[in-house]
Amino acid sequence: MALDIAKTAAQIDSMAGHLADAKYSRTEQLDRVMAALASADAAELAARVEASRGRPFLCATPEDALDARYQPTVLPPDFCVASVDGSHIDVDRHLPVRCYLINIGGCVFTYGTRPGARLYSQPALYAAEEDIFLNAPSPTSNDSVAVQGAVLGMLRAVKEVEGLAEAAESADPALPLLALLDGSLVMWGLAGRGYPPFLREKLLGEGLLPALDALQAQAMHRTLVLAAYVSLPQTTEVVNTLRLALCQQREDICQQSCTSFRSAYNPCDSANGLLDRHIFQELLAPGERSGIYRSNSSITRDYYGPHQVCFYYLHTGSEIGRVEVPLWVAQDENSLALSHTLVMDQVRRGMGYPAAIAEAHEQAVVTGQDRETFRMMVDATLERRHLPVYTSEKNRSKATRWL
Amino acid sequence: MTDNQPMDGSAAQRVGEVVESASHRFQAQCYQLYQAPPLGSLVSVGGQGEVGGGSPRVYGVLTGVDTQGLEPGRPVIARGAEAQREEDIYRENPQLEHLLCTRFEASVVGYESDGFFIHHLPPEPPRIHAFVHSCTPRQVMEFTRTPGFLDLLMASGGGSQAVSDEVVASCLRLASVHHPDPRSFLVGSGKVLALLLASEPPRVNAMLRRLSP
Repeated sequence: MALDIAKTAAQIDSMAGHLADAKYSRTEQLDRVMAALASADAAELAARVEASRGRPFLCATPEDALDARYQPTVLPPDFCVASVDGSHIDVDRHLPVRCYLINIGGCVFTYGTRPGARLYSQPALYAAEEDIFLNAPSPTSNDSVAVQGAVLGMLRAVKEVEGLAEAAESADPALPLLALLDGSLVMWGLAGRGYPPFLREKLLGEGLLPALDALQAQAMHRTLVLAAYVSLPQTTEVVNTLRLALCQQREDICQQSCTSFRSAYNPCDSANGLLDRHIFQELLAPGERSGIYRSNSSITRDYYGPHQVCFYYLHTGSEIGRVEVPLWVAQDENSLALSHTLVMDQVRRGMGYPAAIAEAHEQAVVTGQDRETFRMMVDATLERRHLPVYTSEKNRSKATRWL
Repeated sequence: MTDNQPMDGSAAQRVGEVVESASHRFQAQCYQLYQAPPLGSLVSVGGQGEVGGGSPRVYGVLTGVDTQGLEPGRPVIARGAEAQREEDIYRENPQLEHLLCTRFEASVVGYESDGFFIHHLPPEPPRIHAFVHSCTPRQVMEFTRTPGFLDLLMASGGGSQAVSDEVVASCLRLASVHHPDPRSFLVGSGKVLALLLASEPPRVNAMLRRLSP
């Protein structure tokens, strides 16, 4: 017997009832937080954020007026958009060999008087010892991390940015280029997981940051803006900044009584449960972007250097999206405006979601059927070479499903 | 692309590549969106000088053309609500040229062996990925000089009778212009059709009307 739909439906109904009850109080909460946004001074609040690192919640530093709103600028007559996405087949202990596959899909679109498109995907299979385990470089250390699960996800993110730097190089250098990624520029996976420092060095120092350097180097010789788009963001960094603005408690009391998600005191408990996008849904009109905020995630603050992650929210007409840009884009008004204009144009062309990201995803996606084919190809190839092929009894059981 | 040199030395244009193949029909994908040869036109596949060279060059008549999304799981959606012209949609979405594809289907009507045209099914079907070329005027004239291919074309079926008859009429009209006396060719072909469809006078009459230029 699979999922009991009848029992589940009753629980879904109950959940919807709770949401409906909460809706009224949510409006009151939002009013109080929006009032804080209207009255707070951005510079003072930024200083308070810098001085409040001990709070149990992560605040963004406002780099602009809190209620700032910007319209997109005029679309360039000719421009390019490059995007890259990745998909992977994780290490499968039911396979006879330890390996993983990363498929990088990408596209480079040229718009304007000479429209064109290049779509591609490039799978890479990793099975060598140095790919399967990332090892500490020191000869005195035998520390090692297996590449699978969350670590493989982060490695894939590195490959995506490396792929984007390559895709950007292939775009017409005479045209402005938006290099667009899906998701966040922040490698959140490295935060607070207790990974050894050498893993951070491998993934950031030897992976992500050189790829970002390569994009920045290109931006010195051509018009290039790098941006990452987060659809339906769940982030609360701006809400937390306003929570700080509302908070009347000392930091030590806050540390003892409050959590990263909830405040125990009035009035800052007005921010409990709110997301950044709830605020910007109120503030922004379709097409507008918010002011710039700087992320205070320890990962970007401590390690990203010139690529520290800044972000703004964008009302696309159909949702509030979060656009992350590196500091070198955020600090240049023209680049920032270009990122806004081109992301908005991508959303329009993609009918609600950036067309280039959607296409890169389509190029990268590894379907369930692909995974099964991959597994069979591995088995068949090993058999042909007279190498041992075996699988777990669990896997065999799933395949047969005896009655 | 003019890499297929027919016997008469003139150049034939490569129009696509076989993606499905059977003894009596094949389907080809065009290299360029919407660049299929006309319905009813004669095309050739494979032959010497290509992969699988040694297999005979096969001839087919286009019986249908369709354009759709390249990936079955990605439905094509309307995009032009705010566009002034159809071409604006393609200009605004340059990826469409890569994500849509035009395919055409052809009924096999004969093959070439030792320099002769044979109006029978070939001993083996075209190979997958074999190149499809449009036929030169000379090839069309030589292949349709005798009406034997009409037997296979009429028997190929595929779709409704009305569509099938339309394809036959279209094929004859297109071929006629490459004959020294097009009218004489059409009259001769009409007589053959009348014999093949002797039991269906209304159908013959309808087809003869379609043969008029």
